[in-house]
Amino acid sequence: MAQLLLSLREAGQASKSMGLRERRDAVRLSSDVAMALASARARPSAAPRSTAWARALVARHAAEQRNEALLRRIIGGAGYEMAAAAARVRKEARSRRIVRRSRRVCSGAAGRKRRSLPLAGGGGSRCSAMAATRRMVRARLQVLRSLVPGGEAMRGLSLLTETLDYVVCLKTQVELMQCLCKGSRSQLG
Amino acid sequence: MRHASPPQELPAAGGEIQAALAPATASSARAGARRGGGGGSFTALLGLPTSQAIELLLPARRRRPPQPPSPSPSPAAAPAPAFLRPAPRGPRRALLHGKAAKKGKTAEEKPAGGDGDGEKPAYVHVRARRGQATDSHSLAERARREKINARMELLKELVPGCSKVSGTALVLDEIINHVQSLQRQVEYLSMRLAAVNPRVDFGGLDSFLTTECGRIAGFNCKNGIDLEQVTWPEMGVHGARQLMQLQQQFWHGDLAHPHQVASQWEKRGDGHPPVFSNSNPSLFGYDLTSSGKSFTQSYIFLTEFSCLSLTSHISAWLGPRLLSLTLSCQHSLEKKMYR
Repeated sequence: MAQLLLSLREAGQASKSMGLRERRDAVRLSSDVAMALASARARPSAAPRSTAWARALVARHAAEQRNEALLRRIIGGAGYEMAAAAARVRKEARSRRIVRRSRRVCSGAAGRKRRSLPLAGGGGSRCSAMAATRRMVRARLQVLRSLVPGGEAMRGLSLLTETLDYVVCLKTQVELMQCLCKGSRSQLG
Repeated sequence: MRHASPPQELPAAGGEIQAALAPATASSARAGARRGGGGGSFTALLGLPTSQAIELLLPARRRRPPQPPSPSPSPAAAPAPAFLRPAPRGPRRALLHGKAAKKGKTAEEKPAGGDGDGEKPAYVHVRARRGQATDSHSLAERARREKINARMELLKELVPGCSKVSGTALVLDEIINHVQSLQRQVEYLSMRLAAVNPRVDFGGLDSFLTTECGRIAGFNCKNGIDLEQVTWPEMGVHGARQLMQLQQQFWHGDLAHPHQVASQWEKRGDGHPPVFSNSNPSLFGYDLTSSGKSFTQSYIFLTEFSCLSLTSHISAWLGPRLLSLTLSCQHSLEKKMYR
């Protein structure tokens, strides 16, 4: 994966015309793609072919037009086409999901009010405490969903799985980049 | 969500009820471990042998419906129907109501597709705990809850400082903070690297990378994973030679990888392992033709760290691999899951 990172970054730096910000974005992009590819590679026989967050990440990068050239170089033309297709699909799915969810929320809000009132009346303090914790957990799951790429699609268990994978890969990424930093710094100075 | 795919894989007799049952039974069998073993990327690190070991362990106590690990749904597939699936349990002939929920008593679930035979009966022997209801609803729910708890424990281990905190919400808080901080770190580091980079060519970087990572791997290697530390520093030293065409070759060889990898994404078949093992010899071919320059070997090690599909022959061929903290972390997670 470090090798991937290196190669990708090399590809990124090949176009020297970028300013600092662009370069940073290119670096980030390349490292993200490297991570995604690494995770895709690390599971040849495991259940999901590649993690959902990996796909979502690459799709997110592919969606931006300015990344196109770089991405194309990194993952190759065929891979880029697939990433672009995935990005389009995600956009449609996301809009559909938003509509569906809003509908559900509207009906759920009406239903929840009806439900919570008798619950609070009948169950006593414990149930309301549980309901409160339940609500807190839900809020945090929502935040987590916004954090983890591709997380809006998932609920419950799969979200936790994706978070696990994502955290592991983030840690790896951070370590590798620190390594590279140290290495380049020691080389320079 | 995994629940979506098993129904497709079952031979479609007995209809929807059976399909509804199968995920339930599959989930209730060996709740956290197997699923975690199937799903986590880190479990793929130790590859197949360990999962096979678990499979060997399983029939001693339980029998689960022989299902291949389910591929994940396509990114567009909304898993909403999968979640709605546990709801319609319907008229199922659960043989549980006869059996008392005594301790140690095994409850059997038989799919109602005993009507629809010719179907492999999805037997699951699940121990019903004392005083707990043994109908399939609560069993499935309990399995799900166990899975969720297992995942939460893994996350708690992963995220530092979570072990003291109890309660789901606070742990989730910590996780969120951790993820945010990691993302910010990545951004910051990428900015730094971008600032540093234009003056550095990547030839010299690699030798330092190997030494650095070799040291790190040495410090972080845990849990008896073999790492031949002796060879590492030597290789780092030898790796000071940079041959540009070597690098070029190597990068071409590796850039060919992503092509193959990316093409595997959409394939649901088992084309992946052969592709991977085929592409590996090409890499090794590069390495060998370059007369075993340790410098490229370090590259291979670094890739193999993440590409741990590691069938045994690959690992044997590789020899020492770069193991970082995450690998040891993953290994410990593995151990947790197999328990």
